[in-house]
Amino acid sequence: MEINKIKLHPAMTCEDGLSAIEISKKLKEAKDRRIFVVGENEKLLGIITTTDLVYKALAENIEISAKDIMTKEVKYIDVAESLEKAIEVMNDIKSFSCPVVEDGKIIGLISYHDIINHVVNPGE
Amino acid sequence: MGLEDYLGKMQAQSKAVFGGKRKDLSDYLEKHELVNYFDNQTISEERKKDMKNSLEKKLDSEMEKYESELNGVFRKGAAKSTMGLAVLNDLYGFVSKAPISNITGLGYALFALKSAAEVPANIKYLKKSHDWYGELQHWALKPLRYIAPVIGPALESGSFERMVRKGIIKRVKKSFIQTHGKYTPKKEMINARLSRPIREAIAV
Repeated sequence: MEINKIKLHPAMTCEDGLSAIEISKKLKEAKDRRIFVVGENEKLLGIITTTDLVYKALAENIEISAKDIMTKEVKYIDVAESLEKAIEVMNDIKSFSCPVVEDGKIIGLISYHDIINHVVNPGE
Repeated sequence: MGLEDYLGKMQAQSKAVFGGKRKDLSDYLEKHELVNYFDNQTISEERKKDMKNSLEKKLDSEMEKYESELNGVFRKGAAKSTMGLAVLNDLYGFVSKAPISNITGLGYALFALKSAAEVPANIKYLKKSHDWYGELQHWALKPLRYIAPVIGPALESGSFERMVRKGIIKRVKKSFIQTHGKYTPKKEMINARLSRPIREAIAV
């Protein structure tokens, strides 16, 4: 029987110099509510949500760029860590998904639903 | 497994291996070796009944196959009488206050006779079962039984049959698992999978 592997969801990223307007357009296009800010070598720097855009850009200064809007303390999970740890991170951030990084570079998002499906239906 | 469970398992195993009753072998397999299949809330009663029938058939087939090893009248008679004499010899050694009770010519001769009577049955069993591990263990323990007074001859008596019964248990269990699939309790399986690194769980 084939092994039921988890497919990571693609994580939308932008550079730290991108403007709030450009970020808003990207999110609208992708129908998403968050974007990850990456620096050199795709290193994860921060996260911007639609709430950040409203509170920090729209309500204060629409001209500011990603590095001024982003939340720098991003909780993530490394690929070397366990699935259990990923669930702990999700509980911690009260989200049903969390970013997965490898050597500091974001490689995708893992969801709570995918983990449960993988654990309960191993398919092997 | 708690101490109580472990002791219960040991007791059931001794009962099955020493006593050799078919029912004891079946009970030991069902309640201890294959307990995850039979004492399992997630498996329906109907399925358990099917598995029980399958287990009984496998056990019957194995016991039939090794009938001559389990109940060889001549070998059994020779083994029991020689070992009985060896025990009496050792007891006499104690009563007569000999310094090393069982190191007597008669004791060795009786052991040798018993072992020689066993050889053809051992060869036949090995050819049928390929149970090298059981045979090696059986012969490796012989010297210890030769040395131990009273208890040694007593343990030696029926040791061949016990080896055959242990082999039967092992083969029936293996065949059962091959037929019904390896079962891992859900909780253990979930814990094992959750502790895996993400790298191993994701599709590249």
